[in-house]
Amino acid sequence: MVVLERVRKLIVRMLINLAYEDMVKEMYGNILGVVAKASPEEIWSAATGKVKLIDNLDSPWGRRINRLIKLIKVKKLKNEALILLDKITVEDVLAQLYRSAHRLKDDERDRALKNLFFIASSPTCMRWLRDNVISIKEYIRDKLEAD
Amino acid sequence: MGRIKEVIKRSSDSEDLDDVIRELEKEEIRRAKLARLREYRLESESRVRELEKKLKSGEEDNASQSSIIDVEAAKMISELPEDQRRKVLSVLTLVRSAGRSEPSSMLVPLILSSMMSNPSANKEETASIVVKTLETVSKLMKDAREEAGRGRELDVGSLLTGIAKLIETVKPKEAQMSELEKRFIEAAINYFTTPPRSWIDDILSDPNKLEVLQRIFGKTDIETLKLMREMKKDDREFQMALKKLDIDTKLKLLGLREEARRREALSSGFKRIIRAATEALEEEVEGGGESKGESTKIEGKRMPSNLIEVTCEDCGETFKIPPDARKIACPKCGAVYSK
Repeated sequence: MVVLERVRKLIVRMLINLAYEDMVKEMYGNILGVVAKASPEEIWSAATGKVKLIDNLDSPWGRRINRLIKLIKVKKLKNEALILLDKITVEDVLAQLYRSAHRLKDDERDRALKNLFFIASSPTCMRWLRDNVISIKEYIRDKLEAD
Repeated sequence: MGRIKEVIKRSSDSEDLDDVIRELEKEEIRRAKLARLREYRLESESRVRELEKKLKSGEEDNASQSSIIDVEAAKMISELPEDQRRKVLSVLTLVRSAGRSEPSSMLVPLILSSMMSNPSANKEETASIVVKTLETVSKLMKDAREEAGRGRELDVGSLLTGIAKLIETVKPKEAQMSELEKRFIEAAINYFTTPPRSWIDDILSDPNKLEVLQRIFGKTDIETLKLMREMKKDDREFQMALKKLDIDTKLKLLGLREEARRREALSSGFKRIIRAATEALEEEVEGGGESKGESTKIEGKRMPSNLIEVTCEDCGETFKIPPDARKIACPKCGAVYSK
């Protein structure tokens, strides 16, 4: 019985990790979608205007995130999810975006890379991205903590 | 005498003398066949022993100085400086002692490229890299052969991609390496695609051996042999397909390398500018700027959008940079510039 219980816990943990990863991927994917479509001028304007990316993310993203958050809560592993969430830094996000950009198609990839290099070379843009990562993390954290 | 007595005894036991003699003749023929087979086997064994002796003496020479039978490999080694030459020879000896029997013309370029990419590695470490690479290459080749054996179409491209990826793990640092790697790939492909001459080829090409075999086994077995050779020929056709690593495939291979190099340069450039921007952010926080937890506002004071257009000195790519950039990297080649 003990073994069965451990296996059950392991499976639940694996599911939660998968759900969490999906959630983070959703987040990255959406940020990248925005970055790949914009021009350096638009990025600069968004960064200096401190535009919130979360307001520009599409509604399916919200639905998917909510579904995943519900799953995490049902499995009673929100504390683990919160710990993992806290560990994400703006460097992680940029590195992940950079990796994902390489998987885009030629034109999109070139534009996304140019924009990522643009963001990374500017402290203003980095600050903007960092604040956006914080606000998305806060959004997810609020949803997780809400009863 | 014993035989004659036996014949007399058997013929007196009402058996026909002719039958007895025929039977004995048959037995004699069988014995003769066996004797010939034994002779052939002994001949082969003695040849194998001779070859083993040659190999051993070659290995001994190897340990003392050079065992480079291969002209191409010898030329490559002779062009090296003294210290490098010694290292290559010691690594070669270590690789041979690890049981690798690939030709020197294939091993030397691989050893040289491993040495160049890992200059700080000692002899043992370099030998270990080389052995691991060889094992992976032979596994790739074997897998491809098995795939083709299962009736699936052989994908030379994917095979090459595997080798290219493998070689990419040995990070190139000098332009000379690409030439060495090309030589290694060619030698490896030649080695793995040239089937060793089998005993069937030996027998079928030598009329004397063929005659001996015909006398022993009769014609039917020769047909089997021919069939076996045909099967081998199929195998050879597969090998030839592998050998058809035409210019396109080679270009594809080099293209993959170029792409990997570009990514490598890009990624290191990207890491450097992220570091610079992070440092700038940290300085800002320490200097009492915006706190990390502060949320963003939709409306805010906008800085002028005076983006600067610059051209990379290395690759000629034109791109825009923000006015506050401290360190920039070219998004095409990864070259890093400081303001």
